[in-house]
Amino acid sequence: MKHNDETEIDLLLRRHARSEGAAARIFNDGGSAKDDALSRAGGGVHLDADELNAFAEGALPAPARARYAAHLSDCDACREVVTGLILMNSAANEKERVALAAEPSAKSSWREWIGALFAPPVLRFAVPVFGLLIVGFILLAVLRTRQDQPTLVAQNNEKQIAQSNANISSAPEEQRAADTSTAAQSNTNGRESILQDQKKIAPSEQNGAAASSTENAPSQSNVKSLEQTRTETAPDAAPSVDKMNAGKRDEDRREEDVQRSETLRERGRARDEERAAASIPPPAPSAAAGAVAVKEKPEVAKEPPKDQPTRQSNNATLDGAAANNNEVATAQNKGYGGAPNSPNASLSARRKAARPSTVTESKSGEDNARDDASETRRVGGRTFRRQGGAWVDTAYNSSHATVTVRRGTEQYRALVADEPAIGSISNQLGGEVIIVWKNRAYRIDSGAAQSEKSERKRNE
Amino acid sequence: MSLTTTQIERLIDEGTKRLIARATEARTLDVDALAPRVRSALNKYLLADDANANADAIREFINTLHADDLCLVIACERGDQSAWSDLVERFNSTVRSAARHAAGSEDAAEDLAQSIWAELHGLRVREDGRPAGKLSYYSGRGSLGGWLRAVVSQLAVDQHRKQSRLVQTEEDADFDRLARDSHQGEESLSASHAPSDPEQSLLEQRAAKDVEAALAKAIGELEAEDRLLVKLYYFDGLRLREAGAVLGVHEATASRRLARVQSDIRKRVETILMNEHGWTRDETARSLTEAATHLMSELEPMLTETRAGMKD
Repeated sequence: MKHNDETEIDLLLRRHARSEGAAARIFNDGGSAKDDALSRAGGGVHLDADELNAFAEGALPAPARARYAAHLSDCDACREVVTGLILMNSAANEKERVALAAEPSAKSSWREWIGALFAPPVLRFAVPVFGLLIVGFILLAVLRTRQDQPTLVAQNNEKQIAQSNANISSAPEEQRAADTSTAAQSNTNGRESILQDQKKIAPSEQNGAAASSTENAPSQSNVKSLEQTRTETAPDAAPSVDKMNAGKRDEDRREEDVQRSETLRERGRARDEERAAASIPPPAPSAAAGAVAVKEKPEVAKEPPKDQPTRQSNNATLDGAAANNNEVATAQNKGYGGAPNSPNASLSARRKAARPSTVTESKSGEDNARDDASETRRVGGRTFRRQGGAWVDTAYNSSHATVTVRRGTEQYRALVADEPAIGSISNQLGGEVIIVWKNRAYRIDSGAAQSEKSERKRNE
Repeated sequence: MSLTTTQIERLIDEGTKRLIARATEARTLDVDALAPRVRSALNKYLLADDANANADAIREFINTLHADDLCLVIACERGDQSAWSDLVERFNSTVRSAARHAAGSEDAAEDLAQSIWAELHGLRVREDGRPAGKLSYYSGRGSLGGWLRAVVSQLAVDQHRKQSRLVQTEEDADFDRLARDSHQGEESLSASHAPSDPEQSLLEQRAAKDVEAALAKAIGELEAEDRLLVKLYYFDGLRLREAGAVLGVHEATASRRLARVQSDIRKRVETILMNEHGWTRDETARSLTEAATHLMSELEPMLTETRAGMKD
């Protein structure tokens, strides 16, 4: 068996230690007790208790420690005492350490507790956790701020709606219809949170809506129903998804109310005109169509009409409306058709208000009739021919399902929102336009054209 | 530049004043009562090894003395009964614990503790009429509790050594026999070998002697702490953890130091054998290997019997 060097020297040292120790016991009586006592007292060859204890506790300067280490390496007795002392101290320290570890730390002061929180091992984990919490709070605040922005916009629009409602409740009947449509329009904008659309709504359309609404006298019951609808939906301004859907449902309900009111207005107007004198010339022919409800759609930005004829016709309509107002006032002052506040006076006033636009329209229709044969235009990739004062899509035929939509109404805005091309074409052509779109014919009607058609029906 | 006696005395006085200021219970002691003990400790532990110690070393030495323990001991020496009461009350458990650790039985421990208190108080009377006890040997360098444990251990060792001279254990007898045979050097080394011839046997015995002598010399030439480590580990049979505790180092440090010491001893033994006894390197290596092999073959049966005895 081969032993390496360390093992060999280890064995040799063990053997040497055994032999030396046995020799010391055999050939040396180990010293007398008296010598031992003297040395303990510091007067002999052994270290005294103070020196032994100082060595055991490591309380000696380096030179003194080396000196005592040399003595201990040669003196078995002192070495035995020191070894016993150190092992006894180690056992006592271990026992005390275990006892302290088992002791609850309730006696530590609040300062020590705070100091323990800022100890490096605690900070190592606490700082990243606090950092993550702060980042989380910041993100939460940013998200909440973004969510609140539509709410603020809705609240602003709600204020406008409330003001409109206040105006409606105090305005006369002729103004209520205009306010009603305006309020409904602003309500829609508020729901869709698109302020730009309000600004970009064509002034002509708004005026057209106002002008057409002056011809109509909605019944008070319809106005009240609309007000109720607005009141029900006005507080609803939260931008959440569920509230958006509820808003859309409210818009649908409102649209139905508006359509119902328009239908009633038309019926009322038809009844009134039937009772009136038959001095009104027949209206220009136009495509026959019934008012069909069109679902309200979100509005989109529309370009103002660029075509000169359209603007001029609108201006003529505006001028006509202004002239109507003057004539109404004049008629009322002259007592035409009875007392100013009598139903006949109001009826005649409405008739007179309608007359100039009809005349204007009829004049336009006569001019258009002369151009029917020759005037065609190509707009939006389609060809339109002038027929009876209206621009008719060459693709149109009687088999097409026709939807009549009046300019400036919510149906028109919804249709244009859905099909912007229709809006563009109608704006470019102006007046009454029949567009064939996706196998359906849309008759874009202005207010004068609609009244003219009603007159023609009555005459027939 | 060494300090003069006057300077040292001034440093001692200043240090003693600071020591009294540090003590939580000075027991109405003044500089005159404490200065002699401080001077004695300074001479014993610092100036005896470094006569040219500077003022900072002296101040540092005095500042690290145990002020409260020193004031208590000096007050006891002056006959302060309240100080004696405090001493017994604080350290009676320490003395009893050390006595139980050193003694073999509870009765022996009680006797040992009583002996300690008697020696501390002093059975002899000095010239001035005050009892001469062992308290006068406390310098304040270490703690008073550790000093009391040392006093108990010393007394216990003295009593054990006195009894051990009279009674020898069986295990010690076996090792003694082996050592006697090894010291004579003839029979133990050749126990596993058939004697070839007298000349060869004599050569082997002589080689074993030379190895033993070289080992002793190599151990004697070690540094003090290295030699202490060898004594603690090989002669006293301590484990490396215990030996490290005596030296004030960790067990791993003690292990590395022991490995280094073993290497140093082997190199020194080879050098001694080659230089002083004229061996060649090969002869030295072969001799050491043979000696270790012989030792294993001799010790294995004994170790086996020892282990069996421990199991029983």
